[in-house]
Parts: sequence; C-alpha cells; structure tokens
Amino acid sequence: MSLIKSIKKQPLMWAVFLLMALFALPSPSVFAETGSSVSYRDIGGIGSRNLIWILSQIHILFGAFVLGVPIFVIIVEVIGITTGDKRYDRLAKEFTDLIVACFATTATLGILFLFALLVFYPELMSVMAGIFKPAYYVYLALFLGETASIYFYWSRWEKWQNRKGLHLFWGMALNIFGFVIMCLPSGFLSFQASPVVLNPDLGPWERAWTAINNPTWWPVNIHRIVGNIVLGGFVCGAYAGVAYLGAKTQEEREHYDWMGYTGNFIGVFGLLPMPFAGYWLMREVYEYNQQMGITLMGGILSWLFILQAVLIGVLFVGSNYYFWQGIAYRTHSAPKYKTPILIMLVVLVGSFSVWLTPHSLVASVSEARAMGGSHHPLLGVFGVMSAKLTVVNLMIITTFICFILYWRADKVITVKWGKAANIFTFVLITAAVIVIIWLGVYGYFVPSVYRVNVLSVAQVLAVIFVLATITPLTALSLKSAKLTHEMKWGIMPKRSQYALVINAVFVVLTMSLMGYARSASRVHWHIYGVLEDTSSYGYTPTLGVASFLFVVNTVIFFVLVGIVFWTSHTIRHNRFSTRYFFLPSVFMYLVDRFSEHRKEVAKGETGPRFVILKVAAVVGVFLFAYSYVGYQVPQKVGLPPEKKELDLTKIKTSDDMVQIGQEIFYSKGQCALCHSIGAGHGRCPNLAGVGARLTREFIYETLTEPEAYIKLDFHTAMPVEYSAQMPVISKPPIGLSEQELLTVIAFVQSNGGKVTVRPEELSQVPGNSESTPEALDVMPQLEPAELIEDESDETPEERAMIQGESFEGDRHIRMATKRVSDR
Amino acid sequence: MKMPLVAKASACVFGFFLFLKLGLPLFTSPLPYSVLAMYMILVLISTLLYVSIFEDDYSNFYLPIVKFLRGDEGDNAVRKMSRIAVFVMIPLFMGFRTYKSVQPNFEPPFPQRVIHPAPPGSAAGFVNPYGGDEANHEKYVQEGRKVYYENCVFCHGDKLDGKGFFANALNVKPANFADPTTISMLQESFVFWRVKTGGIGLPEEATPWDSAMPRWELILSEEERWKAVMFLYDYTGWKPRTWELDAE
Repeated sequence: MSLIKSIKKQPLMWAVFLLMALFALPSPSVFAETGSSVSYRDIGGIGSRNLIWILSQIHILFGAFVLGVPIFVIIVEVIGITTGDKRYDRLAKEFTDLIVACFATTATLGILFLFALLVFYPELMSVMAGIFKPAYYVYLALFLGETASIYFYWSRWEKWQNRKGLHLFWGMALNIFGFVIMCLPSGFLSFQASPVVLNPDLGPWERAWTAINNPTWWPVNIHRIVGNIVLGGFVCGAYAGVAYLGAKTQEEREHYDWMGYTGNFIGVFGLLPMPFAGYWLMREVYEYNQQMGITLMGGILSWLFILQAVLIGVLFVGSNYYFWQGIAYRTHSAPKYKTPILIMLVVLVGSFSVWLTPHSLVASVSEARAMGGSHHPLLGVFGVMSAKLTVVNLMIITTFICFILYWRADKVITVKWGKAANIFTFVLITAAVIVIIWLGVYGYFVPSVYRVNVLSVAQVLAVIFVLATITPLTALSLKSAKLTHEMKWGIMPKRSQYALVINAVFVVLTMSLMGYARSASRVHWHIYGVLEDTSSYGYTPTLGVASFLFVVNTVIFFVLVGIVFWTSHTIRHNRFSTRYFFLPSVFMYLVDRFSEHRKEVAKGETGPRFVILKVAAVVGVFLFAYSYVGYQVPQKVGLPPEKKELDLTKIKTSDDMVQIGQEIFYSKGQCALCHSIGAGHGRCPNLAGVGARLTREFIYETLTEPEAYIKLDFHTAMPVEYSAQMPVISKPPIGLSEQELLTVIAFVQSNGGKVTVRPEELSQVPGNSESTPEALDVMPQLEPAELIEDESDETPEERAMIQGESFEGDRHIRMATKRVSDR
Repeated sequence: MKMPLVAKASACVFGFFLFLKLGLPLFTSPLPYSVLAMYMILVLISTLLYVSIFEDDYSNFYLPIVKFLRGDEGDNAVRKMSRIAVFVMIPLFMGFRTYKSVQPNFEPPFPQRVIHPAPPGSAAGFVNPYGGDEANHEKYVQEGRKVYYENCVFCHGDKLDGKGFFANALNVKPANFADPTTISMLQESFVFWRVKTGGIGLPEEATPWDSAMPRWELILSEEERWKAVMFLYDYTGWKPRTWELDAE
C-alpha cells in the first residue's frame, strides 16, 4: 500500500524515474556489449520477429491515440470557449482523461519494444544507434516536454478555467511536442525503408539529419498524423459507445451519445483525406525506388491491398451507418430520408464491390474456361486502378453528402439566397460525380502515366473542390436557419453503438495492416539495400499469418485500452496519480473491489449487465471473419533471393559479365538506390548511354574514389534535395571486390558503349572471399585483402597497372589527378 | 395488399442473385463462384443494414422473424410445421454442404496464384535497345511481327486476343493483349521479363504457376524478344506504362 501512496503523493518523482530508465536505454555501452558478438537472438514459441511485430504495433497504436487525440481536444476546447457552451469543455476534459490514462502505457510499451529490439536484433540496433544517436537524445528531451505539457494541461484544467490562454498554451505545447515526437521515429523507420547514402565524413548531427530527411519521411509523417486523428476519433467513439451501452441514467446516455457522435465525426473527418495521403506516399515510394513500388503493389502484397479494401470499405459503411441512424433517431423528419439513405447505401456498397473485385479472379478451371481466361470480360475492367480510384472518390463524396444531410436535418433555411445555394449545391455535386466517373472511364483510353499524373489528380481535385465549397456554403446558409426541432440525444439503439465499436476495431486493423505493408515493402532487408536481414525470419510471411497477427495486435490493443479505461474510470479519485500509471490503477481497482466503499456502490442502481462481454463477443465475431478472409487470398511466402557468389567458371563471354554486373548493380552494389538507367530521374545522374561517353578507367575511378571525380562529368546533375553523396563502392558498407567492380564496369559500359573488360581479367584480380590460385600467381607480392584495404594510398597509375591497362593517354585520369593534387 | 418487409428484402436479395446467376450470362461470361459469393454477401449485409436503420423497419423486419422462430401461443398448424421444417432444414443444409465439400472432385484445385509476381531488382534495368530509334521503329516492329507469328501465335492468337489454336487446351489461359487492362498497365521492362521467364522461370512466390509458357530466354535472342514486345504494343495500340509525363 505504501507504494501506491507514494505514487499518489509524488507522481512527478515516479515520472522522472521512468524517464531515467528511458535515458539509460540507448546508452552506447549497451550497444558495445552486444553489437559485435551476436547478430540475432531468438525466443522460443512466439519467435523474435513476431514478438517485435506485436510490441512495435501496439506501441504505435497507443502512441497514435495519445498523439492523435490532443489535436482535436484543443479544437473542442476552443469551440467551448468561443461558444461558451460548457458541454464542449467537459467533453475535451474527458478526452484528455483518456489520453492521460494511456500515456504511461504507451511509454511502458515503448520501453518493452526497445528492450526487445536490443535483445533480439543487436546488430540492427547498433547500426541504427550509430546513425541516429544524437536524435535519440532529442527524442528523450521531447518526451520530457510532452510529459510536462500533458501534466499541466490535464491537472490544471479546473484551476485554470479563468486563465484559458495559459491553458491553451500548454495544449498547444502538447500538440507541438507530440507532432515532433511522432516525426522523429518516423524518420528512423522511413530511413529503414528508403535509406539515403551516408558518407563517412558526415558529423554525427549531420548524419542523423541526413538519414531522417529521407524521401518518404514527409509523406509518412502526413499519413501518420491524419491516421492518428482517425484512430483517436474512432477509439473515443468506441469508448463512448461502450459507456453508452453500460450507462445507468438517461443523462449519461445523452452525454455519451453526443460524445460518440463527436468521435465518429472526427474519425470520418480524418478518413476523407486519408486516400489522398496514401496515394502521395505510394507515389513517393515509386519515385524513390520503382522496385519497392512493384513489390508493394505487384507481387504477393497486391493481395494485401484487397484486404485493406475490405477494412476501409467496412469503415466507410460503418461510419455512414452510424450517421444514418443518427438521422433516423435523433431528428424528427426521419421518414423523408428513407429514399436518400437507400440511394447512398446502394452507391456505397456498389463502389465497395467494385473496389473489392480483383483483376484476376479466383476461379476453377471450368469457370476460367467459361470466362475465357482469368480476366472476366466485364469485371476485368473493375480490377485496375482507374476503377478503384473512381469508386474511392465516389465513396468520399457519398459520405460527405451524408454528413451534409445530417447537418441540415430539422432546419429551415431562412436566408434569401437559400434556394440558390441549394440548387448550386445540387448542381455542383452532380457535376463532380459525373466528372469523376467520366475521368475514370477516360482513364482506360490513355497511357497509364497520363492517367496517374493528370486524371487521378483531377479526380482528387474535384472532390476537394466540392468539400471546400459546399462546407462553408452550408455553414453560412445554416447560420441563421430556423431550428424546427432540437436533436434528441440518448435514444440511439444499441446496434448503432456496436457500429461505433466495430469502426474503432477496423481502424486499428487497418493501421496494423498498413504498418505491416510498410515493413514488408523492405522485404528481406532491415535497411533497404543496406543492411540485410540474415536471420531465419528474413522472409515475407503469408497473408493469412499476417492477418492473424493484425487480429492479435488488435485484440491486445483493445484489451489493454479496456483495462486502462475501465480501471481509471472506475476509480474516480480526483487525483493525478491514479490515471497516470497503468499498474497502480489496476491495483487500486482490485483493492477497491473488496473495500466497504465498493459494496455501498453496488447496492445502488445497476446498469445493463454483461456489456463488456457482449461487446467482446461481437468484436470477436468480426475479427474472426476478418482473419478468415485473410486466409482466403493466395497464401504465398516471399523468400529472399538466393545468394550468388561470383563463379568465375561460369563467366565465359563479356555478355555473362554484363549480366553479372547488372545483378550486382541492382543488388549488392546498391547503385540503383540512386542511379537509374533510362526510365526515371533518380536522385543522381541517369546512367543511360554513359557507356559511350566514359572510359573504363574513369568508371573505375568514380567507383573507388568518388570525391575526386564525381563533379567532373556531372556537375549539372548533382543531387539537390538530399545531401547524400556517392559512397566509395570498394569499401564497406558496400565493399565490392575488384572482380565485382569489373563486372559492374562491364555492365555500365554496355549501356551505349562497347564492353572493353575481358572475362579473362577477372581471374587476375582478387575476388570476394578468397582468390583463386591463379590470381595469386599473377600478383604474388600482394595479399588480396591488402589490395582492397590500402587502395586509397595508391596512385591512379598503380591502379591502372593492376588492371593491366595503360595509364597514359587517358584524359579523365589526368584531369582527376590534377584535381587531387590541387587540393 | 402491402408486401411485408421480410418478403421485400428476400425478394431483393433473391432477385439480385437471379440477375447475377442467370441475367448476366445472357450478355457476358458467367461469374466465377468466388465473385458471386462475394457480391451476394455484400448484398445480404447491406439489406440487413438497411432494414436496421429506421425503427419501424427494424421492428417490421426482425420482430416477425423472432416471433416465427420463437413460436407463439396463437400459432396455427401451418406456422408450427414450417417452423419445424426450418429447424430441420438448417442441419440438413449444413450436412449437404459438408457432403459437397468432401465429395471426390475431379476438378483441379483452384489456382491461388499471384498474378503479377514482383520481378527481381535487375528486371527494372531492362531497357529496350530500340526504344529511342524512331526512324527504324517500323522495321523493328516488322521483325517482331515475324517473331510473334513464328513463336507466339499458337497460344496468343492471330489477333493477340489470347485465342490461339492451343488456348483451349491450356489452364491459365494465354494472356489477352488486346484487353485494355493487360499490357497497357505494365512497363515494357516487365513485359520483357515475363516473356523472358515464361511460366517456368518465374520466382518462387509466383508458384504454383501452371502456365505452360516456355522460357523464351532459352529459345529466342534478347533482340528478338524486344522486337516481339514492340510488336505487341504496336499491334494493339497500347502504350507501355512509363513514369514521367515528359517521356511521352
């Protein structure tokens, strides 16, 4: 008991303890101990990868909630201040209660996640720490700021009722800290997926910043922050839904009905721009690395997006269903909405079925015969992006119309231009729908690139235009509108509250799925193209297994959230501590159960029974159904490609060399992370046709001593956006051997030029691991390792001699030597 | 007489089923079971959703069902018998489903396959050596046409619509290039890679891939394969997928 008392008395001290524990974690000594000896450890039963998967996902889900809710809490509070309606202030406070309840759990999960990473993936963590160490300290400082802001914001709510400015200041601070706290680890994660080349001469801060500021960092940030709002809104809605179901009085029901409505509204509000954010992210991924885009959208994972479509479709239908019930129960003019609701339902479900229809259908042999192939002649057209984007836009518009109808229900517009505004609204929405469908159909008749870059963007703009025009117009026309009836709160049927809960469940499933998609896009790499996953888990699991894990994550998340909300809600001590810690509030609850106080409460009026069990059963049915769907799509494991050692006996012609060189160019050499050939404008010079312009020696020198040469031929095409520079290819981390360099040179030469590297030369230079006896015969005076290690000490002449080519007469080398000596 | 809501809803679901099952095949190919089941589940769910939105619909729809299943004092013999019939039908139906699923079946199992297997990283680097050569474009296409009609036509057909002589004998039908949703959605390098590997040389993730397409890299030269790909695009009029607008 004394522990609990001390926590209650000194919450700040305990918070500092927690922080100190956090500070101690990334200390270099931990990495030094484990980094060099072991690369991976495993845990029996669950497996290290699955454990990390679950811990990271649940940590991120909690984090999303804690960071997403403050964004709309402060908006709700401001609305409360401007309208003077105390209801809003109470609602904002209640939302904040939920954040505070989850805050410590988020941190605890973060610590567990970090420990698990350190234990199971020591090599990865030492590499990451080597890059991001300064950022870790910033992260901890931010965490301190976040803790302080949430402390002040929450605990001074009542005290600062008359000093709302100060209170809002801490609310803003909370949001700003939260945003940066979200962005920073996003940098770590997006670096893993889209790394930039880090030069060894970068200072620690510069290196961390270069790594964080990678091509997909901002798209991921935006995607995440919108996602956090959606998650926060729907989870608050679900909380209100459960509270409504268990409410004892009509007053409580009214309050939670309104809270659930607000949560759902916020969730939908965030959901509308979500497809655009996702679309931007995918474009950036393609831009960064086409191969990664193809992995995501093309191979096994293409089925993942069918599963995602199921989730998002349920979300759209679920939130609209809640809106419709709101119209049916809260308003007085419900019957006249029967037909519009039916139309909206048909449009939504029709769009949803188009979205779900795969391009190549799952069919038996006889069915495929009857269809004349795996593509259905009619449904085949639904299977491609043009159709999918069109129906997503239609779903967004429909949801928006639904919202507008809800907004205008039971109101009579009194302004003079009301009729004109109505006609305008109707015409604009109709026009937008026609334009969206027309653009979608037109998309089949133009090249893909035109569709992606022009038509899809036009569709999105049409939707945004409608949203941005109709919303203020409706707000203006309703400002002076006459209210025929007040909304009736607290009489919603139970099934509507289940819809709220199911929405929250599906948002969490979607987030788990998207988190998995982003991890899976790296395939068998920890850091894409840089650090390979050589553990036994370096493969892509089947989608059934993945779906099952999404379900596991969702269940754990909701069980934890349930425990946190339940305990902190039950013990309504108006103290800071009880909500601030996860375990103490559980203890308190248990202690409370057997105390006298508890029994007195039990004698009072009782609400509905078994609410939690019933909700859990319904949620369980939905989760089971989703897991089942996950096992209905093709179950394929994505294995990493086989490792190929350079086999000299197989290289007979220069064509063979070119082919090997090409493989190295796109894999081990990491060249394609920056350079592209022909298609695309990479972050570095495009190597199309360079074989005609560059000599063999020059290519060799750019690979082994890039600083001396890199600006020589490509001064107009330097990488601008990212301060990453060409690394030394013959040194770690890439570390190609001389033989491999020769094959890469052969490949580069084959782009528009004549391959002058002869296959015989390969046996004369050292290979990767151990060289052949012939190679030692040719150069007995040098150990192969020395040749690579001591390369920087050699002059270009010596290197040219090693290659058996004459140094004299080469323009590039002479120029470059001069540059080097000038420096 | 006004139709009860239960009957209306059932008529709606059943009518939709008839449309998909019988109506649609009148003017296009029949739907495979997987898609039919998916659409029917959606129709069923949305019908149930709709009747649960408004209070009057809800009581008109669900109460009679509950009343029927639970039984009532005033039930006549017909209602009683039909209730018993329903309760007998449910296990019978389940039994029938089980029987169908374990019944020996001579159809090969569903090919649950990944349609566009992700090519290895090096595939993105395939560049058409004749791509920029506008002057000789027609010549290359003609050479590609020769390659096509000597090698590919037997399966992919005269009109590139996947209806060659052998097409009916193949499971995993030959691709229909005339379809706007096939090669126009793919990059030239991907099409080239697929020709190269055929069905046999595809990576592990694409299995079980029963496609009989030969591994053309063992039969045709790289030049011939590129020209054949160029012919595919030229004949059908589709443009390969590219990433920049200025590439047009």
